[in-house]
Amino acid sequence: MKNLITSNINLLHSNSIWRQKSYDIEIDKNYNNFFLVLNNQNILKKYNNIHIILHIDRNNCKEMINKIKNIGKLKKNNFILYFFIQNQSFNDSKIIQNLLYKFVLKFNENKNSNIFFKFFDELNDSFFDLRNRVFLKFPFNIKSLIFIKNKILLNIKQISSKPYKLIILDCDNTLWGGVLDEDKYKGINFAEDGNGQIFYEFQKELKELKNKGFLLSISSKNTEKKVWEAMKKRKMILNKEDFISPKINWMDKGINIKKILSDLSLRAKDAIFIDDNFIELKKVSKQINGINTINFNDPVKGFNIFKKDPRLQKIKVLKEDLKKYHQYKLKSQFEDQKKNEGISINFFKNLKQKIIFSKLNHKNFNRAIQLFNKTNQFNFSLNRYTNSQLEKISKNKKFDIKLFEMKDKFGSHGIIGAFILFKNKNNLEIKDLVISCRVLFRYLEDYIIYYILKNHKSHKYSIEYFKQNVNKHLIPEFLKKNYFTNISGRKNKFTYTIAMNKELENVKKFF
Amino acid sequence: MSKNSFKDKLKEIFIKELKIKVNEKNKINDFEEWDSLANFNILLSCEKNFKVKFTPKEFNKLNSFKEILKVVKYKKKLK
Repeated sequence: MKNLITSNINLLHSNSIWRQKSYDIEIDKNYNNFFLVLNNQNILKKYNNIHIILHIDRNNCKEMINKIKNIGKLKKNNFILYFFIQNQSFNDSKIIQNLLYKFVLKFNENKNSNIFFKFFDELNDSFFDLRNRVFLKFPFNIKSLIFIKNKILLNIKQISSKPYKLIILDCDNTLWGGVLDEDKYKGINFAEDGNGQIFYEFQKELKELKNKGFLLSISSKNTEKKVWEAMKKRKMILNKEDFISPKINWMDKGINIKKILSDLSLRAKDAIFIDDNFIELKKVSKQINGINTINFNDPVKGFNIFKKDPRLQKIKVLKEDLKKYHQYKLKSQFEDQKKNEGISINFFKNLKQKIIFSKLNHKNFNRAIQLFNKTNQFNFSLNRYTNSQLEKISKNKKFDIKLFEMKDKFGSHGIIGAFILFKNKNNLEIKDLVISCRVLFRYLEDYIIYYILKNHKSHKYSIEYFKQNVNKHLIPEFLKKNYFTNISGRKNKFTYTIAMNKELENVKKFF
Repeated sequence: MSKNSFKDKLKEIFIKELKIKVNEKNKINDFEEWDSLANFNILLSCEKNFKVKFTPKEFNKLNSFKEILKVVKYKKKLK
């Protein structure tokens, strides 16, 4: 993730304050022509996020708004605007607010907007310095620069950290106050003044996160019926439908959480477990490697940590993210049926699976970028692509990019994978193959190989596998199948050839 | 603070801000890194580290190691 910081003030770029190694940040040095960069598409293409610091006062307000009106033409960057507003009088603030808020409202109506705003309009006088402004074109105190920098770094941290996928919750003293089994549903604390208020707000926050695409689940020692009853009768914000594969029983929490993770095929790293019992938390984090936890022993403190966690912020919500909840629910239904019926050929035939292939276009471009950059476990090459790189490849006739969508009798799973083929005379090389792991192990991956071989006539088919830590589990299993032959391998780069055989042809009857 | 510690601290500021090693005879433009903008950064950093405030006149005039040191020492003694 590359970040560019530009501004209408002199950013004192040689100041040691800006030297940060942990993030990929560049500072626009042309403070005399600060908006030059915003009109230069070639420069903007290099960066993912563009941070614009704006010093606004009565004199430059109108001019600045006119200048930034046209940003956001490049739909693939994120623009983050920080307004530092200097009010010298009551009248000033009226004028500035009127102009600015009209401007902001216009952008906020569009939900898919790539422009984000941050306001700092209650700054006290010691924040500014007239001398620095006159001599340096830098209107702030040097101490304020540290404040500004920290605000931006925090934002960059939030944008570049990978969000959690799953939030696992305890019930007693986490979703509500008190112990349900002892106090009965009338006795627990929820929504009333004092003790109950914090749990009400916590559930509200969780519901909002769910709407942004986070998954919720429960691992609690309770009686399942009573929990749903309590939620219904106390009119809680969350109810039964909000949770995916909840495990409410008297078994060990570690085992329950392991089950949830395997049901949804998620990694422990992408899940967070919230409980009020310190011993329970320690036990779980010992049993499950890499799981994140928050201690809710003191709900106010816990809620604060929860709110500030950068991995729980999502600034951009794609449509696919919103569908995800539904899709994971399908997945857990699928697992249930698999358990009941057992795995058999009939079982897969009855699923009525269907694959729909589509070419890369502007509608699915964002999803393609997400797939290539976020898929880890079933990703052969682990190549990461930026927007411009992928665009370049899609224009090259030697390459062929396709995405695929899956449907079964439970519903549509959305776009769940993509591949890039490289054609060279009589050789066909599968450069990239990524499949979201929630649909693996139902012959989909075999079918994709079958599809590629069938639809591209050539002499030789090959696929490259670049072994790394995150993709070392699933892929080697897959490559054991008898239509792959290993021809070379150095260090962690392996090349396999593929040949059509009966086993591979058999796959088509599942689709 | 003794005489030498001011000098050492100022040298440290140059290392931290511009990554250059200066001596008492150096002035602005002696190094590629030490341009007019960098000079302002040095002065701002001095304000922060020595807890002094330069007047606008000083701000425009101070551009050698010796002068900066002199003014800083003078301001510190006045206090």
